[in-house]
Amino acid sequence: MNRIQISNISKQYKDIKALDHIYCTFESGRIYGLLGRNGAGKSTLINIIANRIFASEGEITIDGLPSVENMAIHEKIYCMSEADLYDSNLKVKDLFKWTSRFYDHFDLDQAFEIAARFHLDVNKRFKSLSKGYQSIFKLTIALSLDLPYIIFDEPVLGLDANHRELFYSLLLKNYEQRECTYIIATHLIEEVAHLIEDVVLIDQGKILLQDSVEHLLQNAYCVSGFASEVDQYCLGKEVLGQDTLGGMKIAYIKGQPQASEKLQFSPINLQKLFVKLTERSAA
Amino acid sequence: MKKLQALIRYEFETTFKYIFLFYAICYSVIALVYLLILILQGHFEDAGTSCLDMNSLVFLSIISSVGFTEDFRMHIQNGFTRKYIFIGTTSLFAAMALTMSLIDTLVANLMQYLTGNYHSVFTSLYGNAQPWILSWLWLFVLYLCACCLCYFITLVINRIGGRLFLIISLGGALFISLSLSVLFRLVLPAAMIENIIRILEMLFGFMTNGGIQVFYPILLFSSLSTIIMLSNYHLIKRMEIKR
Repeated sequence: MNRIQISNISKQYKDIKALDHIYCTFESGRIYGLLGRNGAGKSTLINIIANRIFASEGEITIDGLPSVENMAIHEKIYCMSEADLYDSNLKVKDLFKWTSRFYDHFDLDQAFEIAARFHLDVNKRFKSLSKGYQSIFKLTIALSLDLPYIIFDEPVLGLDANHRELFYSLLLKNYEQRECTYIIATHLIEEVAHLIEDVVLIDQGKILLQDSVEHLLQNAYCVSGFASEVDQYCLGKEVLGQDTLGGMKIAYIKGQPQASEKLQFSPINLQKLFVKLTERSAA
Repeated sequence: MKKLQALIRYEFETTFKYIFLFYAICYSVIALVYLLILILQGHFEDAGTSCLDMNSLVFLSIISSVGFTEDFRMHIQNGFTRKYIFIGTTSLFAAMALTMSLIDTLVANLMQYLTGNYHSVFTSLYGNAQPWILSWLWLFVLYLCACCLCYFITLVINRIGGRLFLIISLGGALFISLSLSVLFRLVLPAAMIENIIRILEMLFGFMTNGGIQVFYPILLFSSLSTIIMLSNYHLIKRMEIKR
């Protein structure tokens, strides 16, 4: 019963259907990648889970409890998003203090420790932080909360490479120490590919697939060679996409490879798989 | 309950400092003006002030609308439900109205004692014969009503957008003023108009026998506050975070 269950969720704006009868599940104790193109509906779904906006249809439950307007789930879920929702006039240390009052499971000492590691000035007001440091502040809060479900919506926006690496290592360290579920919505697929265990791919308001990363990568591959040879090989197979360069061609295929002397086979990476799946969906 | 207490404490701690600042500025300006008069004229005979509570009314109206967006977003970010946000905000309004009405009533009494010619909004309307506790209560419900009304306007603007709100407000005001003019001048009989005026006077505490009954306006503002608060709750429970 420990899961976030999304059942038949739709969200209709005036002339746009942002989400179209979504069903999916986020199980306890796993790291999920919520992937999708710009405008796919990731943030809309996250905002509905976090009770920031209302679904037009459907229901979301968190550990069996309704997620809408329910204080019983207050200590179950936290959402870190790119939207600036904090009191911009307060100092970072005061925002930490207030978070510790709002949440029973916020580790104030850990927050200051993480802030120090990121060189986040806790005496600065939120509005005077750079975009990158505003993200770091939000990450710090999320990493210092010991809750069953933590959602990150574009967590590394504006972060340099060093800070991104630090965030990923802190996330993994937290994950090892606590039983929690992380949901990471991001465009930097290759960066999180080594972190995430499951993928939920959302495209044009619909769930394209939900599967483990291991299973996805085991059941897709690249085949390359002369265009005519590749075309011959691809007959009867589920082709996700193709790239052509002169007389050579690479095809991305779903399934298991069949040996061929004239062709080269290689594993597909998660980003390429995502690109080809969403291109196919758009076509 | 503990979460609600934390939310209410946040509202109080982040807002009350502005009340102290407001009074500091307000009374500093008055002191400065008195000083200038003393320097220029050598006496206070021509100096005077009244209705300082109007400043508080304006201040409360502004503060109850300005902080809405940021507070709402902060509370939603920290997982509070809209019901809790409404309770926290309404509690803040009640506390601000209670505090400021008490301060203003005590200041009014002190100024009247010291100068003999100070008038608050209440004494300007109802004279000095009423007990100060009634004056305080009247001012409290007036302030509360103003806070709730300005918050309501902010919520409506947030829901429908500023432009549409402006059009509806201007159009509505024009329609109401024209309709009332036509009704009163051309449609309603004179006896009915007199009755309407008499009822309105009674609602504001002015009885037909020439007496004053302050409980009626207190009841009026309390009822208005309740109705507006219920409307606020209805609006806020469907409020969404805008991107």
